Amino acid sequence: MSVVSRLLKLDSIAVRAYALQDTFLRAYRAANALYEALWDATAPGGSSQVYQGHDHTPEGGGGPIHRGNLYSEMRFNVDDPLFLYPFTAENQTVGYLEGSDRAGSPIRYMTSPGIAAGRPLKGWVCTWCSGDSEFFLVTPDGREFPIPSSSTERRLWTPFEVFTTDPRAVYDTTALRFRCRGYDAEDAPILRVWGIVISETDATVENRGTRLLEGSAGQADDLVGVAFETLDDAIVGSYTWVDPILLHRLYKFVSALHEGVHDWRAPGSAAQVCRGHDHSSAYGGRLLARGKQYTAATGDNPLYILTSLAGSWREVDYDDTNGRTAAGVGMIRYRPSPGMTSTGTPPSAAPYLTALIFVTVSLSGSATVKFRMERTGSGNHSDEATFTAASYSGWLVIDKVPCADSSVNDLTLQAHVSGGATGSIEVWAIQLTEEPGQGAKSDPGSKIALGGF
Amino acid sequence: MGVFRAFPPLARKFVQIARAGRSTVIDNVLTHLNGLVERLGGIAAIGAATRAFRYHDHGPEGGTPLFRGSIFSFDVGERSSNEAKFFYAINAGSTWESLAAEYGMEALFPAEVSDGIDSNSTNVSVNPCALRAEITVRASLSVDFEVRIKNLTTGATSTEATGSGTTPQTLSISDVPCVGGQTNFFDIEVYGDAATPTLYFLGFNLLETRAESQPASSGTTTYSSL
Repeated sequence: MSVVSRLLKLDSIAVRAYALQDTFLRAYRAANALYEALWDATAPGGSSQVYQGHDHTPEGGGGPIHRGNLYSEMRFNVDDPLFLYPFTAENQTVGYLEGSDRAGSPIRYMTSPGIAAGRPLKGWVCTWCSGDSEFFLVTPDGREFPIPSSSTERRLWTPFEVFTTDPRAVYDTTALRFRCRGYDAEDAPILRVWGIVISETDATVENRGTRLLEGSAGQADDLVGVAFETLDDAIVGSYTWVDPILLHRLYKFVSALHEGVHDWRAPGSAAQVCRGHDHSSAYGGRLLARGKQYTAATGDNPLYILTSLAGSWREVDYDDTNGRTAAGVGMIRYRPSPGMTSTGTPPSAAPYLTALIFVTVSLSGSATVKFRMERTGSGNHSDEATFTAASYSGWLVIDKVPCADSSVNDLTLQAHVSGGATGSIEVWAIQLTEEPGQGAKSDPGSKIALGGF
Repeated sequence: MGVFRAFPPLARKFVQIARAGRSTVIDNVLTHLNGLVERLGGIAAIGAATRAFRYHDHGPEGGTPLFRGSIFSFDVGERSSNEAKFFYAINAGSTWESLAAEYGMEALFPAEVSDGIDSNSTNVSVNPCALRAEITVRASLSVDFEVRIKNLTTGATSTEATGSGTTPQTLSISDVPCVGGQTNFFDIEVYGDAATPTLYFLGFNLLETRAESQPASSGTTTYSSL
């Protein structure tokens, strides 16, 4: 018995050629390899898995897919927008975040692996304009998207498009600006921004190859078998006759693979038998990161201010005696993807999540400041993000955020300041992501990757 | 000779007992396998110079639709200084009131719903495919209140979640209606049960999840039991 998984060149068979043993062996082995790459499981009858399950990353194979929303920032108070830009001259431009402590630090988000540079992201901006002028959202490549004016105080959502810039970077950025065309001092133009949303969509993904899946059902034919039976090299051993059962077994296996990939009936089949893979433990396939799980930012106001600094871990809403921690409610609630259950504190290996926080810190003297996230109720916490200084303003990465699949997860953000320093910590933005191919992956071990898209 | 890629039917009649063997009998398998390599792996078939088939993407290019996690979220942070960033004073009570209308907005927020995740389809929990909302909120009075999500694109509303009192609490709604593959616009509606508290929304996360969003497959058997 020898169940072998291997992807080799599968040349076509010339007319009148003998169907050599090698041809069948190659087909068997390729089918076994595809089984493993599809389901992330050992081929039927095999003793160990040779190929990694595909996970839609350049390494793991499967082609890039979009992960949905990348960034969202909102405020709903009618009188208090995220940002208010009172223009003072014609053709004036102002940057998004200008006037806040985050000014000069563009919107930051994580694009999906394999997404190329220059691919479109879909954005929405919620605004209300007043004054005698025309307003535009200006993207980093210089395109201008007109923002409609409203004579009433009606807030409007306007679509725009930005492009990915650096596919190799873990975090992509975009620096948005706003422009007013005309200016009338008697009716000065004012732009108020209440919300920004940026997402990957199907259009973000670059198509390669030219053919869509063929409309392959053909005539309904209930004589197309679908099964995963053992494809053992021994079945096509040397000097044995080509048995129709041998071929039929292969036919059924490949038809089942077809359904597993596409979640669609095999060509010529009247009905679908095998469920398509969906990268879950229920329907099969390797763990797949889902991208952003949470974003928080409220424009020109910090989310949390901590002034009761201590040389022990404290939630950043510690001073908020009526806040969420005091009420026993987590700061961040999300649902991890199937398979996203970490082990250890901090997690010793993937899977885990990654967080980005934007903080400003002002202390009485230089001190070591640490941040971490803790999963409520478990006692498990993340790695620490650390710096030593009297002041700081910028993004920090908190890696190895713990998670538990199949449940609601609540997280708190905690800070630790050494040496008795006094002062304040302000948290301005929080992003929580399942980072594809990084923390959000299953360990492939030494298995072979399909990769290379 | 060449590395051909296609998806020819693999019917039993081609491999019946006593049927004459033809090169196409095995060639169909090789061609089909090459096609699957490209569709599954996103790579050219082994030995081929170029790729003929587009990869599956669990969206328009094929494969079962996939949920993508959070599709919209916001948070105001701590209560003491920030809850006024997003609040709503219930006007009349005993009627559903729209936050978008209160704020003078066409829609409270947009969200891109993944292709194939649509309330006209059935999810793996045998309910209509839907989104999940996690809402952290409190009231200004010790009274009950209700919250629901309205999809302005379809006009459908979720079931309501009931909150109570002045302490921050997180409410879950598991059946937010949606239409897949396009921008959906949403509103939040509140109900005061004859009382008129102010509701302070502290956090909101709208998610595509496996239990609520993942469409059920037309297949009946999983690979491990096939």
